[in-house]
Amino acid sequence: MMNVKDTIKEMGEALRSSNSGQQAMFRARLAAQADAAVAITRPSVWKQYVFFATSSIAMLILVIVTWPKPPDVVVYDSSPFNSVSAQAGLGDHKGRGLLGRLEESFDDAYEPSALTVTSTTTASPGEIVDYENENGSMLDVKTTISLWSTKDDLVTPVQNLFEYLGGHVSGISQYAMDQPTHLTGLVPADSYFLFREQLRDLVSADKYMTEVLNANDLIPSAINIEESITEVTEAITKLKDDIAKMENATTKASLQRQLENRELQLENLVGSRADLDENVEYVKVTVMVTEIPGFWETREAYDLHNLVMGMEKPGSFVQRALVNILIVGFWALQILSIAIWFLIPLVIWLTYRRRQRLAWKDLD
Amino acid sequence: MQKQFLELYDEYYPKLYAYVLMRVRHREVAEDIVQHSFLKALDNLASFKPRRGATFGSWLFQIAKNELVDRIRQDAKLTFCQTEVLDLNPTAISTIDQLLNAELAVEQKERWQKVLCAIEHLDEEDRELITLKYLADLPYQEIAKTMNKKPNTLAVMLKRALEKVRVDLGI
Repeated sequence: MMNVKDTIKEMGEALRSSNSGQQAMFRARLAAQADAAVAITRPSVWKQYVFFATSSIAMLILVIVTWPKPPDVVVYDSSPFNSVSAQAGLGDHKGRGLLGRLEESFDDAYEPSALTVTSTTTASPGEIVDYENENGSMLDVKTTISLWSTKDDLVTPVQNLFEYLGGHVSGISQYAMDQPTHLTGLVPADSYFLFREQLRDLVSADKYMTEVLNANDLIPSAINIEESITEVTEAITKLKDDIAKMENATTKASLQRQLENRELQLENLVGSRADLDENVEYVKVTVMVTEIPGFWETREAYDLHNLVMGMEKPGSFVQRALVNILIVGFWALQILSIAIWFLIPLVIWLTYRRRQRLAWKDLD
Repeated sequence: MQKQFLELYDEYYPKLYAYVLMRVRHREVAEDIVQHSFLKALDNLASFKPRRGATFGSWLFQIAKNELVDRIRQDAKLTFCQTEVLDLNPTAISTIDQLLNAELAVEQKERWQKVLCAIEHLDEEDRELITLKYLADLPYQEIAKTMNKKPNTLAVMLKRALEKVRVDLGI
């Protein structure tokens, strides 16, 4: 009995191969014309999948590339002032103890180190002396104050504040649109606290967010000296009492020597305090004015962003837990989006293809 | 680019030729239509924007069908049943020998001739489907795009068309 389907297929094969000579001839002619620079595609279902996958990867890249970045702070070291007011030089010359204390505090401070770069250069003692002869003595407290603002012009008010308090700005530098502006200047030491207060008022009045970073100042050193003075004074009082009560002459003489040493120590401390007051005429301050990217309009949001991006050390347990939750949530979201954009279409496509093939196989 | 197009040409020329030949029953005319179709495809390659599931094959067959429409308007409808052919168009190929231009065994020739006549008795859509599926050897996906029907529908239609052929042949 004749199999109709097979017969038709046989005929088809015969028909398709019946014109090979003409096919070859025309192929040669076509080859000469087929140099059109047009991409030839053989689209099928898999192309849609590739498009899907590519677009999801492209989206992921786009998200990563456009992710808001905090401003990078470039080490500022260009003003004439900096070249003279060297940290190390001044420390050696007049304020070693204070600087040592400040640097220690800086290390312990909870702050994004990337945002608190302060320039330090070395200068010869001669340069320092020249500067001090001209401008008066100063104590460089290595203070950097960072202001975050959604407004682009916070520089002028800060500059005015320097001048208002009897100081001056010795250098302003802006590196790029998205980089912080650095204002480096001198503030009279006795106006320094007022300067900080005014600065805080200034930014809060204009709804700027403000943070004083590494704003260690004269207080710790002064406190140290005051504490030492108190301690020594108490020791002296106690020694005096003890001496008054003591009857043994030898012991009394020994306590008397201790008392003399203590009094000498007190004298030195008082002298140090006087030196401190005398030497500190100006405080060097670097104010960094950073425009907050539009997306992170509040300082809290910006801090949170920095935390999540691992740019700040999380502090408390709650803070760390929050950061971990955020990070896990972020990755969960990523995995979910990959599933939606990539895996689910893949499974659908594979299922569809398998079903189609099975159906056609059965029907053939 | 050229290589890719020629690969497509190698793949689709025999299929398209078989399909067109079955429609026009004239070797020279079929060759002419096929060649015109390929040239047109090459010229319009830049504008080839495949939609969902569309392939180069379905696009090429669509071009060929448009060419065919023009030619068929000029010629009368031809069939393989000898008496009718002679009446309608004396230049048309009326036998399977002429169609294939090849020597065939008598038994095979008779068998094929009968089947072709039975296919000829089918309605237009069934005939088109059998031609595309078994003579041109197109996959369901491309036939679906060419005939604008779903593959599963085509499969059912094909089954019924074959049944009709069997009935016509008395099997």
